[in-house]
Amino acid sequence: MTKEAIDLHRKRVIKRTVRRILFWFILALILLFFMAPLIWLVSTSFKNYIDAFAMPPKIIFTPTLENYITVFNKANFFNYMKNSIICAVIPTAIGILLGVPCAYSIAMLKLKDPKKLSFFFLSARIAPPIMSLLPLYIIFSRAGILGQKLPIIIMYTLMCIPIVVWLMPVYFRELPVELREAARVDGCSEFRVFWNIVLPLVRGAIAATAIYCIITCWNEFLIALVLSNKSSQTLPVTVTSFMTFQGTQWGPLTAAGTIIMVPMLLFGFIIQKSFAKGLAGGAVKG
Amino acid sequence: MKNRNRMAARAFALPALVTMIVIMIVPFLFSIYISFNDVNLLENGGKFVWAGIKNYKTFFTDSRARNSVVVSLKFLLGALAVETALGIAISAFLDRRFHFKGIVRALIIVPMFMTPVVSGLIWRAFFDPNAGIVSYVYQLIFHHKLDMLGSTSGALWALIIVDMWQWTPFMILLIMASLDGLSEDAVEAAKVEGANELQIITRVKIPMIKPTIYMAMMIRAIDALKIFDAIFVMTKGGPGSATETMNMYSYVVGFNFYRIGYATTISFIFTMVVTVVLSKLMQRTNNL
Repeated sequence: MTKEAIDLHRKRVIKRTVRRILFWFILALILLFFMAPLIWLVSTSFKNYIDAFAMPPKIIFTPTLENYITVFNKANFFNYMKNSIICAVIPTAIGILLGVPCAYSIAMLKLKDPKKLSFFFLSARIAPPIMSLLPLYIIFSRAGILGQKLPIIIMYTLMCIPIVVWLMPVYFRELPVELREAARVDGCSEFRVFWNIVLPLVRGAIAATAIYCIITCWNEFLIALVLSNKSSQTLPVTVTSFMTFQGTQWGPLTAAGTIIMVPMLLFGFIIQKSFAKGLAGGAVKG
Repeated sequence: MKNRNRMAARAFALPALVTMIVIMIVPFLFSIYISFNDVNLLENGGKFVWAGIKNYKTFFTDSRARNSVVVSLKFLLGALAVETALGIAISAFLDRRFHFKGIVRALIIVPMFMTPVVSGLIWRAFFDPNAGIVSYVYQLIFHHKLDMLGSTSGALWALIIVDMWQWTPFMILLIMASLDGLSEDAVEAAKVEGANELQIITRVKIPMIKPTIYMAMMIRAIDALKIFDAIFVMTKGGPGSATETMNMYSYVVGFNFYRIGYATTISFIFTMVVTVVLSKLMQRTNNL
């Protein structure tokens, strides 16, 4: 090898290394931006009052559990958690139960005008919840059920059904058409085809959609704020109760925030792949 | 046979449809009626008093309502522009093979699944002029305090930053998924033509995934107009009414002032405009 060739090779190696370092540096910055709030939340929840707002932020500190003890000792915290679970699981179950057959019908069966039907559910997805919240607030209060969990469950069902009808068709369209045709020729009823053949194939997609519904209900705030009272409130409303007139109790607030968020983040990890497919698929095929 | 098919199709769709009609369309029709009434829950037992088009007249002369329209639009355009640009840029940046790509992607989309109320509170702490990290860093560089949430010009930008942090990951998730799904043919062809990496991503790949980008923008537009949680815990619409969106304003009128009639009018106008415009746009996007 000539001297020039070696030089050239060395230059290339240096250039590649610099590029690689630059890449990881920028990547670290991006990750820091998106992760910082979560890191701050979790670390603050283990800090005492003095460490919490030390500037610059304390990276090394003696962790304490006192914030979590405060949260768990707060009257009714477990009750609020139970409310959150009920108000997420029931609407999700109803949404799946009603939404999945509807999505299947839109995607695969011979409806007269499937576009119109999916347009209806799409506009339900678009309409802001405050639109239904105001009239339903009056209806619920006249019916005397305001403050119970039922109104929240009804409003969340209203959110879940359109989500399911909107996300599921993509997965049905992926199935081979022959599968259905063959079963039909064998004399299976539409219901049997759906129940015995189609459903087992989209189990994963249904699970992902259900998890997405649960996350949506669990994180919802406006509806819960308006419709709940002291006994029926869900966790997002509870969190704001740590903002008092005397100031915000950041320690317990961050502890409660961590407790609320950790299960949803785990769910998010589970569904991210199939969720992206559902949405991106919906982008091209509608 | 054909008839039976159609019957089955209807039977599958009907339960969801009926449920939605009962819990959405009926209240919707009721809300049209409410909007023609004066209903104040704090006065004479919340009785309905027919008011004709009074609420609509009020809306068009109410400067606070006009302000809320402007704030909503500003927030929508700001958030949409920033999130789309950043989403495309970061996805393009990550569109290569490297170690831990799966983990990086999973970490980036964490904000999407964080409870908006909680993340709004976190950012409120970050923006705190005395103890917040944003203000601290700003002070290190510019030597004076920064109080974005307390200033009429800065508060909306602070909310846009929070929205960008929470929802750019959504853009990235969708864009990365469809970049991964692209066929190699076009890319190979461009390579043969002698295109460099930057040209391949900007001239070949991005144009190919345009439908996904439009769709992602549409979904973001829908949700950006509905934003409530972050505003509620960070600014409550203030300072003054600098961050009072239409959604926030109808909440305030309805559930702080208890003027349900007028609040319903605001949310009705808001819903009609948003739903008609966006669903038409969505349909068109789908037909691309």
